[in-house]
Amino acid sequence: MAEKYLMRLGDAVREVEVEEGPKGLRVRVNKRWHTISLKQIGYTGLFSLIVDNCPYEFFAKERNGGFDIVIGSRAYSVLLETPERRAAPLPARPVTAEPLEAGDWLVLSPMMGIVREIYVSMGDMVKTGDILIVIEAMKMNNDLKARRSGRVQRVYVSPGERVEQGGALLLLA
Amino acid sequence: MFKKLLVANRGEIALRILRSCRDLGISGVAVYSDVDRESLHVRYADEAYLIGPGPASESYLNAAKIIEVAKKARVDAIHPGYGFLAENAHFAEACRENHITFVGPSPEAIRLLGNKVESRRLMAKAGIPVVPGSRALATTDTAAAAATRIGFPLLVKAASGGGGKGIRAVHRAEELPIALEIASREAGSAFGDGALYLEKFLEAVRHVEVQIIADHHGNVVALGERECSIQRRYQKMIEEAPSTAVDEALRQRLIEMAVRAGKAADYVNVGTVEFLLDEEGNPSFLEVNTRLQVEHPVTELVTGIDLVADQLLVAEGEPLPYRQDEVRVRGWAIECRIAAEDPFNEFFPSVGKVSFVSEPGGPGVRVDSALYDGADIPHYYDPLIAKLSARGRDRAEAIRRMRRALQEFKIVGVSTNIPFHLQVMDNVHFIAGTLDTGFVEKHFRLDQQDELENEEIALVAASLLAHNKRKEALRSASLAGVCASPWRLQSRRSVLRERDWGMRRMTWRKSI
Repeated sequence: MAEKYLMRLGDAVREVEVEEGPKGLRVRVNKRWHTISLKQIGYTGLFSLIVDNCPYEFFAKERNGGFDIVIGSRAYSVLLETPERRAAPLPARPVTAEPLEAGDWLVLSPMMGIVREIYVSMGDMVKTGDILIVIEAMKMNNDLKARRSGRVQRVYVSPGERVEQGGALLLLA
Repeated sequence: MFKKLLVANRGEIALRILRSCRDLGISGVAVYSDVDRESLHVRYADEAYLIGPGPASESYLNAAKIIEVAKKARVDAIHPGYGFLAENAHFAEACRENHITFVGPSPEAIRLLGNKVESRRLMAKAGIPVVPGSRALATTDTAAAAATRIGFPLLVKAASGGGGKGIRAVHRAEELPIALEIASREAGSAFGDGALYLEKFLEAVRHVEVQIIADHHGNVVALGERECSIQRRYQKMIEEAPSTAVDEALRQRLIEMAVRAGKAADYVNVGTVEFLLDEEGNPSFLEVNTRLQVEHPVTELVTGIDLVADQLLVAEGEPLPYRQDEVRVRGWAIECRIAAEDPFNEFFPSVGKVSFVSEPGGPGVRVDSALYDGADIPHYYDPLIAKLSARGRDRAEAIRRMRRALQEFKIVGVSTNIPFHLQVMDNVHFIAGTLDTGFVEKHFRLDQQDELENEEIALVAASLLAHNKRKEALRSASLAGVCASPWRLQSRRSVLRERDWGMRRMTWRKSI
């Protein structure tokens, strides 16, 4: 049987065809067919994939709507394309600042840690590169710098407070 | 001969020390915080004691608790590793008061050399050139005056600091007051002492350090130099032994100065004398680290010496088993510090669980790690999770082997800085050996390009898995229709579950 799968990786949607026939397992990506051998190794999610006699190793973890595939030190979130997903694309990686109203920027924490220093207060003007907040994680102090200029509208945290990854820190407008 | 030793540390260094203990027939005692219960050092030790919850201040920095455990376990000695209590003079004193041998120098030496201002003064008195700088700063006025004398750019440093922490660069006079305020606060919380001093900021220098070891009989031996110029925010990332900046004449000079420094401080056990070399190769004393260092493996690889074993020997009162002229440096070794940091996102720490690890091996490769499948990387401690070292007959061979070993090293579940190390191994300036402390900023830009080939493989992989999942779903659905007997249905289901692609947890075969 040959099946077509629509896979989304980042912004791109690609069609991949999988065929199990007398010639064994084959896969078509772009216009070319490739001979495939896929074997799981052990039970930790490690797989060996041989594509046209070239071996690759990857790790797979199932996730909502697809798989996280780790090759080398990079992780790729590959999702099965559905009509709903096409309407609302997911971000490729966590972002540290998201636009809200036109012009407003919410500064989010890129990591879990403890707020050590807050160098700004409500009403301050900041410019790109200014250090806004210092977050301690893993015994290192990490300076979070402003990615753009603006005025501090709100400060959501105080020193000593624990923050999660993605937690709101400041609002700049 | 020690019968029992307590390791007041965790992670890879705790395992390292326990291994040498096992070599020597010394019973090893581990201490652990509750988040480290599953750690390799706990499972490896001969005895293990829970000392507190995750936060370091309540566990690995809890000197009183550790001494209490040491007495209960009736240990002869405590090895502090690096970091935590390794350079804490109070802790060394507490060991002495409780008749437990502290594997390291005396509390007096730790105190003296731990005060960076005092240690600079001691070295200057011993005739060793010192990086231009100030005394301890009393007021902002003395700071401003000292700054004018030293000149900009300069570094504001913690008097009780070390390990590259609590350092702030100041390029212009206007930046000084706020830098002093921030640095003092950081120093206060990190080292318990907000006292500061200033040092000239020598850019484009090479960080070269000399490993020394001394016994209680007055012998001080230098075990070659290491170069640690590949740094990021004053934290070392890659170290090597020997250094391309050091010719034989300079080596003899550095050895002589390091031994002189050790004798001036009445030093015992291992220590490292750090220097900065300017463009002409003139050395200036920076500081002494009164502990076993993270990068000690490269020295071990080129000298054939087991530093931890010799630490224990010295601590037991034995004389050093070699003289200066018997120390041979052979070949070249490089070490890459593998950290749970994302080099593609400002090296921010990556906390999580290592679902799978596969460590490299083969000729000339050494791994110092306490990683295992399922290891948690908690946010309470350092992001250093492993050290990868490669040794070769010459530097080129060491680099080739390091490149290969980095490619082999698989760590899944957290981001690591392995891509950074791989790119440095391919960097022309690194290969040529032209290094200085500005290397990462000047020559290095992390290549963010996604390999197209890997993207296609990821797509193929995911499609195949989706395909298999679909097949299984269809098979189960058809079974449910065809097979009326619940007994057979159950047995078929358990066989299918065994052939599960492993993405969910492995389940054992249910009864058949």
